[in-house]
Amino acid sequence: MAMNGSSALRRHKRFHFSAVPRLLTLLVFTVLFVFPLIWLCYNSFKTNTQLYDNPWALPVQWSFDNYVYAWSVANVSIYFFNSVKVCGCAIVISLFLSAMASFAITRLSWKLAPAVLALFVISMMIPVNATLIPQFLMFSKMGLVNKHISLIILYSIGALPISIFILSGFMRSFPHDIEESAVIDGASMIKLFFFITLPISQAAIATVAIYTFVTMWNDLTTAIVFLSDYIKMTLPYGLKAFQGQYSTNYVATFAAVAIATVPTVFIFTLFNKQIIAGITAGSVKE
Amino acid sequence: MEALRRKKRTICLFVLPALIAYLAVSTFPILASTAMSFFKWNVAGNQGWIGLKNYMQLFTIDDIFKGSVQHVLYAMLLCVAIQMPLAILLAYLLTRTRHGRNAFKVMFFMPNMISTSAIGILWMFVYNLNFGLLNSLLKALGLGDYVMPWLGETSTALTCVIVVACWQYIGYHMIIYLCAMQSIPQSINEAAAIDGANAWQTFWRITFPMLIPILKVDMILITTGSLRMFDIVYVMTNGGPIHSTEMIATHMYTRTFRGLQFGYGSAMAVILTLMCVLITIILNASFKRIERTID
Repeated sequence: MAMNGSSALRRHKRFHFSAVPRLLTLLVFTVLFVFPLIWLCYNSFKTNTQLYDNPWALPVQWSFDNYVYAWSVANVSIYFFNSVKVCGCAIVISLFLSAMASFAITRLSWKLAPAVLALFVISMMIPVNATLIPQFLMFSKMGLVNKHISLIILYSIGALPISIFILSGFMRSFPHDIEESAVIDGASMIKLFFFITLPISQAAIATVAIYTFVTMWNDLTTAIVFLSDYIKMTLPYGLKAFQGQYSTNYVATFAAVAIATVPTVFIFTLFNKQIIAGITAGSVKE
Repeated sequence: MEALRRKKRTICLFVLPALIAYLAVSTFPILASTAMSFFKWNVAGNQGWIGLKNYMQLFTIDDIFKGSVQHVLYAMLLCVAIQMPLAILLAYLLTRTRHGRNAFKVMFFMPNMISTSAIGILWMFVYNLNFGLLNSLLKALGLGDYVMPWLGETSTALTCVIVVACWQYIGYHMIIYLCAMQSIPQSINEAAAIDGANAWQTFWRITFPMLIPILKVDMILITTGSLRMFDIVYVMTNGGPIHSTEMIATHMYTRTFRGLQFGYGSAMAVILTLMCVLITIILNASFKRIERTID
């Protein structure tokens, strides 16, 4: 589907934009989207004086001092590992729950399966604001506020609709024969799920994992509501706190922002196909 | 096999964990939130039923709320006006680009991969009075008179923040259009070209009409997204200066979790959700009419 779009256009491209203005436009937008990030990167190696002297210039000497400062003195390492812990746990839980539910919805026969799927799909449209307050009161009654477990629960459950949507779409597509032969061999449904369905769904599970991980890693809204101690903060929240605390040490803030940005940019460079597949599945659902 | 597939115990075992967890943590709170908006509910707990008082207070006394409604509507218009044309343009240019299409796609999409927290701080620096890119660019162009603290002025802060939100998400909307354009059968464009249509005509007479269902979806995404705008504002201005960038969601956050007025905050959450539902219904209805006239 992705590639069949261009053959005829190519033949007739003399009609429209000749290649030069088209590429020029694309390049201008590339600069617009990418230059701020590059600017961020090289300024994080400067001193504050150099930054004030000329914000456009490359550093006179590249120094990692800002990174060392942000990472160890200013707690960014703590925020980073909090994020790793919270997102890691949430991913495992949400993948497990959503794979099981998708299996039940697509591979088992029961009348309510379409209704349950619809419930999850429709709820993708519900704004986070609508649930935040009662969730907060519920969790504070249970003593979960200001603990990582609150974010782990909310992230993993928040990821269920999109995960179930993508996974059930995939699981529906493969033939029933594979399972039948396994069942004849005497495997139970649970064995079937673990040893046949999950391995076959690997690619879809990877898409879901990567896509939901990025969403969780970048979340700010839930974190600021449910966390308050500095040592508990996840990276996006910690970054904001850092910026408030060290508001005049600009270059160190540049470095902290760079640290927060690197993992997802790296993941995206490696897995852009999966992430974009997740996006298109999620948005074009109607 | 069929008997195994119908076994109630297996079905429950697989579906109930996700379903119960979801109902408890996500579905139930929506109902609870609506109910709470009719109560006076503050730090001391539930103080009893007060009917529509929270709503009346919002619409009569709370000037910050009125301002925030205007701001989200402005954000909605600006986001549609900036994001849709640019996203369509970029997607269209990419469909006609053979070499490096994926590289462009990845670079345009990159800001979506970065936490809004990082994006917000980065752009606070871009707008910075002393070393910001924007002001030094203006100086370099001889427009030194326009140098100002962009986020510190009530007249410019709102637009500046919304522009950042647009910048972050254009790539996302571009992906949606690109996907839609690539699924248009090539034979249609070929037929048009054989009939002598140029690319401009082909775009407006063939590609664009076929994009209309996706335009609807995307417009719903953009409008409801900008109504709910929160984290970029929280990071960059936190509603200031003097509430000039206050959004419904930021106001709700401050009142609820700083002021601990849970009932009052719930009323705002309900209004926000209703606005999202309303705009979705309006867009669905108007697009239905557009589609009918085109047919």
